[in-house]
Order: sequence, then structure tokens, then C-alpha cells
Amino acid sequence: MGTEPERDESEFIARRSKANIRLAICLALVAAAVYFGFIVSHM
Amino acid sequence: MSYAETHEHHHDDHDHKPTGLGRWLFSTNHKDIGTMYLVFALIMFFIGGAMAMVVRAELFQPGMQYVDPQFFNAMTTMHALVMIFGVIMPAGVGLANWMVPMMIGAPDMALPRMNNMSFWILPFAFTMLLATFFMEGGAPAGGWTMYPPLITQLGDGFPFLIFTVHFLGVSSIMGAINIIATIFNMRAPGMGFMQLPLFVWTWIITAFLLIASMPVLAGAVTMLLTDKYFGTSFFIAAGGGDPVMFQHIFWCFGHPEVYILILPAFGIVSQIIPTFSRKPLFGYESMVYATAAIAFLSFFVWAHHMFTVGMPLAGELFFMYATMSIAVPTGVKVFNWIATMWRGAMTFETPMLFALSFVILFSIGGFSGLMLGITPADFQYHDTYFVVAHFHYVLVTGALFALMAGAYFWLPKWTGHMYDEKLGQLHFWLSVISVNVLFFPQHFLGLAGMPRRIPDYAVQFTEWNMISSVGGFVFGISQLLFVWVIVKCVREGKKADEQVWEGARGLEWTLPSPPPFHTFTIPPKVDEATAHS
Ligand code: HEM
Ligand SMILES: [Cu+2]
Repeated sequence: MGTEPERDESEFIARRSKANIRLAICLALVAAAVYFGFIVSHM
Repeated sequence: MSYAETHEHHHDDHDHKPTGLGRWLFSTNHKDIGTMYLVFALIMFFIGGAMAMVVRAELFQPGMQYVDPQFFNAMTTMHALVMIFGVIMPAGVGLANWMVPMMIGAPDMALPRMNNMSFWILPFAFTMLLATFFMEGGAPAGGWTMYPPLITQLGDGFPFLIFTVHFLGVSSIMGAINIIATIFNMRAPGMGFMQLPLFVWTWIITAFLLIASMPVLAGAVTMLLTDKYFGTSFFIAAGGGDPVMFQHIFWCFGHPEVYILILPAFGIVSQIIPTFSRKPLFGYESMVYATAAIAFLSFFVWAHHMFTVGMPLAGELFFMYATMSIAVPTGVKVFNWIATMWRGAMTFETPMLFALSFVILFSIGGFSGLMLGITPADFQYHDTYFVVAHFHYVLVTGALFALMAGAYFWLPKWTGHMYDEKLGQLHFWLSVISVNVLFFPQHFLGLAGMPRRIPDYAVQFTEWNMISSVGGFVFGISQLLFVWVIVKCVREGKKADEQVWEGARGLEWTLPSPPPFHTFTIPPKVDEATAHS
């Protein structure tokens, strides 16, 4: 431990936040699909 | 060795906390947001508790004493909504916020701004819900299950109830997404899925349950809303709809929901028992698979709440056997907790006492659940106090006791101070005795036929109701002691070291107590010794 962060640390963080947002959108779409799916299928 | 120390040397400029109200309003810090969730849950616990005291006061004797029937029904309904959505769920999310990033070596939650929004929705939602008390027609009184057509007879409070449920759904789904993204993407190098502490595992599974089931509830209440105001007939028989369909949709959410309440509790207990037995958790992998199996099965048992509505025989049988099959993975978990303690060097500090009573008393709730799951038997038990006894064993001595255990377990880590062990144990013993005086007699009342959700009862039920009410009042008052323990701990508790508990294992215990505002900005390296206990 105790090493300074590498140069490409910020690039890694940027990549990771992109992945976070992508995953969040996918999961939100799943939730929305369940919500509308249940309503529409009971019409 | 302390990971935070190394980080502090390089980044102490990062540790300036924002100050004033802004620190809390605009917080993106998982520790502050976790604290807010927990404090919110504690406040709601006393609001929901006050409602329960009204119920127990009215039921102390037969006849009508203090409140009219409408208000009584509002008390039971609001008590349930507040306790489920305002206490157990937020407290669980609060613990996840605090502990998950520290346990997996992440600097914060994956989506910190969404985290802020998830929390701040809650106070608004509950203000809206509690405001219905002052509206024409009063607060919701048709039961927390909101069955139509009864619930649609609610007055001006109705749309507020619906929007509250929508808000709570949005908040939990955002919280769940955040937890999944955090655990999937933010683990420290070397922290594989099978190295995750069990609390983290139970939260992955709970988060998926939330994403799959909260939209179902939201859909159900949306349909109620359009039935009342927009001329649809989803559940109105006169327009070709089916009120029983609501019950199917509701419980398709409702049963996974009860596992949303209990799985994080399983996780907490799985952290505490190894710590105070000074042994690794027995059967780690089987714990993970059992948790996943319980979550999966929870989607196929919903109609055990509706055995008496009139289903085809095949349906009754399917849901009976499916319900019983959940006992298998649940049994695996109970077995593993006991095996963890086997020949361990056990000590009995407050967290362990709560965790042990969880194992025993939750099992009692599981057994009464099995009884209720037997279709022909449920024809007798359904809508009696036996059901009330069942779900309070699993929810109070189950979920709530585990949350209490977790609070005592992590309080020294959060605050940097030890709580007063004597007071903690006093709180435990008062709680565990009074809670059984409160809920055990309700089994007898139910078996003897006392219906639930009714403010008056036949005289032969008097004695057990009196005993139950006394237990209730003692339990209620004992919880004030919990607040006192927390205040005393924060104010004047003696300093806690990083490790806190001799048997504690895991990344979170390598951080100072309290941990600095920002932790693990450089990911720690995880080896076997620091991985799950
Ligand atoms: C061991 C597994 C379990 C089984 C077999 C089981 C079975 C049942 C059954 C059959 C009912 C319906 C009784 C009726 O209305 O006639 C019921 C009700 C209920 N259970 Fe369980 N249960 C189990 C575990 C749990 C857990 C872990 C929780 C929550 C943490 C829970 C919470 C509830 C609640 C809240 C109700 C009442 C809902 C209502 O009508 O308001 N149960 N349970
Ligand atoms: Cu159920």
C-alpha cells in the first residue's frame, strides 16, 4: 500500500462511471418494463 | 495496518466535511446518507410505535374505549405502512449505505447523487402519507394491503396514498439500482463475488427483488387510481373487472416484499454470529445459494395469502407445496448459523444477544408460517390473530431484532465510541421478554378465533388481550432506552479502536473508528485474511 495513484486512474474512474450509468439505465428499464407490463397485460 | 491511514497521508485535503444544513441536504456521501436513513427510520419507528400503542390500548378490554372504529382501522393500516416502508426498509438501506462500500473497499456508492435523491424522497413521501390524517375522510383505513373496492372508498387521502406508494417505489428502485451498481462495479481488486461478506450478498439479492417487485406494486396502485378517477375497471366488477385480480397482483409484490424485509436481516446475523463465535461462517457458499433460492421461490408462493378467496384445487395445492419448499433453504440457513456457533469461543455482547434471539424467534415465526401455509389449516387461521402473531415474530423479533443487532454491532464503528454494554443488555432483556408477552398470546387468540383488524372482541378473549397489551406497553417504553443508549454512546462512550470486536474480520474493521469522511479513495488490496469472515 501507500503507492500514489497511477496516471491512468482518472481514465479508469471515467470508464467506471460510464459503466455505472449504463447498468443503472438497464436496471431502470427492467423496472419500467415490469411496471408497464403489468398494467398493459391487465387491460 | 490501516488502509485509511495511508490514504489520509496523501489526501487529507479531501477530508473537509461540508458544514451546516447543506452537508445533509446536498449530501452525496454514503456515510452521511446512511446516517440520515437510519435516523429517519428511528423517528418513523416511534411514530409507527405510537399508533401500535393506540391499537393495544383499545384492545386492552372488549368494548369501545378510546377511538372510533374508523380511526382504529386507520391506526392498524398506517402502523403497517409506516413500519414496513418507513422503518424496516429505510433502516436496511441505511445499513447498506454505510457498510457496503466499506465492506467491498469502494470509495462511495456508484451513483452518489441518485443516492441523495433516493433518501430525500422519503421524508416528502411520508409527510404526504401522514398528512392524510387531516384530510376529509381521514387516513387510509382499509388495511395496508389496500384491497379494492374498500380502499377506493377512502376520501381525499386516496390519491395521496397512491402517490406515496409511487414515491416509495421510486426511492427503493433507485436505491436498489445504486446498490447493484456499487457491488458489481466498485469492488476492490481481489474482492471476487465469493469473497463478499454475506451482508453484501444478501443486499445484491434484495436489490434484485426490489427491482422486480416494487414496479408490480406501483402498477397495482396505478390501476387503483385509474379505477377511481379515470373510468377504468381493472378491479371493478360492475365494469367487467375483478377485485380478486388486485389481490393476486398485490401479493405477487407482497411476498417478495417480505423477503426484501428479511434478507438483509439474514445478512446482518451472518456477520454477527461468526464474530462473537470467533469462527468463520459455516457453509458460506450454501448461505449464498440458499439466499438466492429463497428469493427465487418467493415469486411462486403469493397465493398462500389468498387460500380462502376461492381458487381451483390445483392452485391451492401448488401454492401450498411451493410455500413449504421455502422451508428447505431457510432450514439450511438456520443450520449454518447454529453450526457456526458449534464449539466456538462465544461471548454474549448485545449484538450477539439480539442475533441469537433472532435465530430462535424468527424460527418460531417460520414455523407458524408453515402452519399457515397448509391450505386447509389456513381456512381456519386466515384473518385471525394467528396471522398477526406470525408476521410479528418474523418482522419484529426477526427483521427488527436483526436491525437492532446490526445497530449495536456497528455503532462503535460509526461513532468511534463504545455504547454502554450494561444499558444495551438491559434494552435487550426488556425487549426480548416483553416482545414475547406481547406476541405469543396472539397465537392463542387467533387459534381461538379472534379476528384481526377489529376494534372490539368477544369477552372470552379478554385475558390474553390484556396480557398482550401490557407486553406491548413495556416493549414500547423499552425502545426509548435504545435512543438513550445511542445518545450516550455518541456523547460520552469510551473510545473504540479500529477492530472494535475481537473476532471481527473484514475490510470495514481495518478503518479507524469512526472512519474518515472519505475512505478507500485508493482501492485496498484484498487478500484471504481481509476477505469475508
Ligand atoms: C418460513 C417461511 C414463511 C411462510 C411459510 C409464511 C407463510 C405465510 C402465510 C401462509 C401467510 C398468510 C396467512 C393468512 O393470511 O392466512 C403469511 C402472512 C404473512 N407473512 Fe409469512 N411466511 C413466512 C415467512 C415470512 C417472513 C420472513 C415474513 C416477513 C419478514 C413474513 C411476513 C408475513 C406477513 C406480513 C404476513 C401478513 C400479511 C397480511 O395479510 O397483512 N412471513 N405468511
Ligand atoms: Cu407470503
